[in-house]
Amino acid sequence: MKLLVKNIYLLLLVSLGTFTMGGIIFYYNLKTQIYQEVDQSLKLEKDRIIQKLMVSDTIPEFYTSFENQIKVENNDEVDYPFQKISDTLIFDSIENHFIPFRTLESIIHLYTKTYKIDVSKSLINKGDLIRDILILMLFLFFSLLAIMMLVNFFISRKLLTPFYTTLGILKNYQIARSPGLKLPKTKTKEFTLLNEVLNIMSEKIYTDFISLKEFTENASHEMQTPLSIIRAKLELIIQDETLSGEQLALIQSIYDSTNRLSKMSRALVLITRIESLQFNETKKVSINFLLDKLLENFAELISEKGISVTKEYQNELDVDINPTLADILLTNLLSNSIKHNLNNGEIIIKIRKSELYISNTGKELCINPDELFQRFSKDKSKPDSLGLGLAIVKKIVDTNNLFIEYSYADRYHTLQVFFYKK
Amino acid sequence: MIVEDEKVLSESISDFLEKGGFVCETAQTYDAAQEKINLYHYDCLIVDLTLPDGNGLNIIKELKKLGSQTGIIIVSARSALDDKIIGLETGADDYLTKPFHLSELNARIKSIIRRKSFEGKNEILLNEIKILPDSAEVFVNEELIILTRKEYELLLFFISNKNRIITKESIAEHLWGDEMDMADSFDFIYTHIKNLRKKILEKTNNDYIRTIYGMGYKFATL
Repeated sequence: MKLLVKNIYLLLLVSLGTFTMGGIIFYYNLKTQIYQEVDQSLKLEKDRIIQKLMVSDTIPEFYTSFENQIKVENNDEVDYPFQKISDTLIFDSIENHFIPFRTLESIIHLYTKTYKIDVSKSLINKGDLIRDILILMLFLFFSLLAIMMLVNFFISRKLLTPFYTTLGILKNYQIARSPGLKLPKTKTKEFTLLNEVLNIMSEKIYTDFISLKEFTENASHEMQTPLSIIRAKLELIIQDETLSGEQLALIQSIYDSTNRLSKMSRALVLITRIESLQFNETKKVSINFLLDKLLENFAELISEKGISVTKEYQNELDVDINPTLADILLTNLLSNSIKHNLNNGEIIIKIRKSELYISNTGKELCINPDELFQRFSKDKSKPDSLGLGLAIVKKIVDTNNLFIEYSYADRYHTLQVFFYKK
Repeated sequence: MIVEDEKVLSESISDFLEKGGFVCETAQTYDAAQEKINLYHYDCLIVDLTLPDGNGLNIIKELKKLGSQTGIIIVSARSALDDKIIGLETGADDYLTKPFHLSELNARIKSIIRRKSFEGKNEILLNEIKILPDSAEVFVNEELIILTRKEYELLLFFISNKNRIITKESIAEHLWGDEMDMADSFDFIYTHIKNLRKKILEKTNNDYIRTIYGMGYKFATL
């Protein structure tokens, strides 16, 4: 969830709580106030009636209405004075429903007479008042909330601008291309601090990256030279005509191991170079064209093994990728499909939109398919294989944000490369 | 001349080449190399790019400035494509990545010297075998034999390294390049060699190609 949205959500939640609580308290407060006021006016009315009764012997006519009912009568049954205020419902025959009233019943002694005075006031208008006030309050609440959210949104957006700038720079940052992030100073202390920390961190990473790169280059150079020497010496030794078959066999196995070591170090250096994004210049590469070119290179191996190749290019597939990496990727995939193929087997190459399928016949895997792309995971029946081909493929795929999948169905092993960003 | 800072390696190279009839000189530093190219004329220069006191590329540039016709082969541990391209653009004729096979280096030197010295009218003679590199035609006893491209390359490689044992690995690398690290390729070599031998034997009685068990092959002219 975006920070802005989250902020607004929280604000909404808190203000909703506050307003509900406030509303309830306000409602009851208002109601009590109104009751008090009504009770007050009922008492006043009663006093007025008593005053009128004091000056006349008979019960005078009081002005009454449906909303404001006054009933005065002689009462001799109850001789003690009392006063009681209560809520009642009186049936309105015109409107045909009950209407809430506040009624004051009282018995008073005046000179020698006892009167029962009932004064009632309709609460219907007061209820309307409360309702109106509540509606107003709700309206006020929502408009306040809206304004608050709007203000919050704009303020947050303004405040967070440097944060988003930093985020944008971070997102597009590629270590191989520039030393350090070089984030700008901002007016907010926290963001300036963040940028400073990130700057220092990225500079550190960059120096590490450079030293790793140098190490890789040095390792490759320093290792290949002694290997060249060993190989050159061996080639000189084997020219000796007096060597026995046994000696030749020994030399052969040293020679083989040297070759293996040399290939392995080259492959590992290649993986490291891919990892450290040293192949970062991309170009538009036609996969169709590259496949055809490579297949031509492999033609001999393919025909020697009696493999038949079927090409199904549904469309032209152009990919933005480093040309060297594309070459290595497809070479490894193709050589893989030849190497692990059966004699007189089949290879099917398909291009469907931005997906490439390379299927080949072959024995079932003797390793777990999940380990297929790991370094040094290899078919035990092929001890000469380095087990690095698919590890390189995977590295290339990963560093280019592509995706690769292995599947096996109906004697066909299929490697599927998705040439679109994940 | 061999410009290589690793003494043992440069000795091995000169040893190997001298057995093939070349006269070799070595230089282990940039300065020594610079001095020598200004004093003498060489048919071919083998340069390592990383020297203790300078970049091998500068020697190539200097040589080109002198207007020299010397063939240049770069040997480098750096296999990065960029280095290769820069090297070839500077004026080198070939680029070999360490570790290389001496027989491969030898074949490339011969090919460069051949190109430089014959200027077009160019043929390789070995007893009854005649090769015209420009048209890629091979004659045995003046009779044309039809070879596939790989067989032709194989024959040329053999003749460049005649009377030497050539390992299967170096043949595989010569024919298919670096990427082809397939154990299968040895079987193909066997097939190609069998066919080549058969085609030569159709026209002559001399069997030149010997199998050195386990190691490789030898093209014996004796």
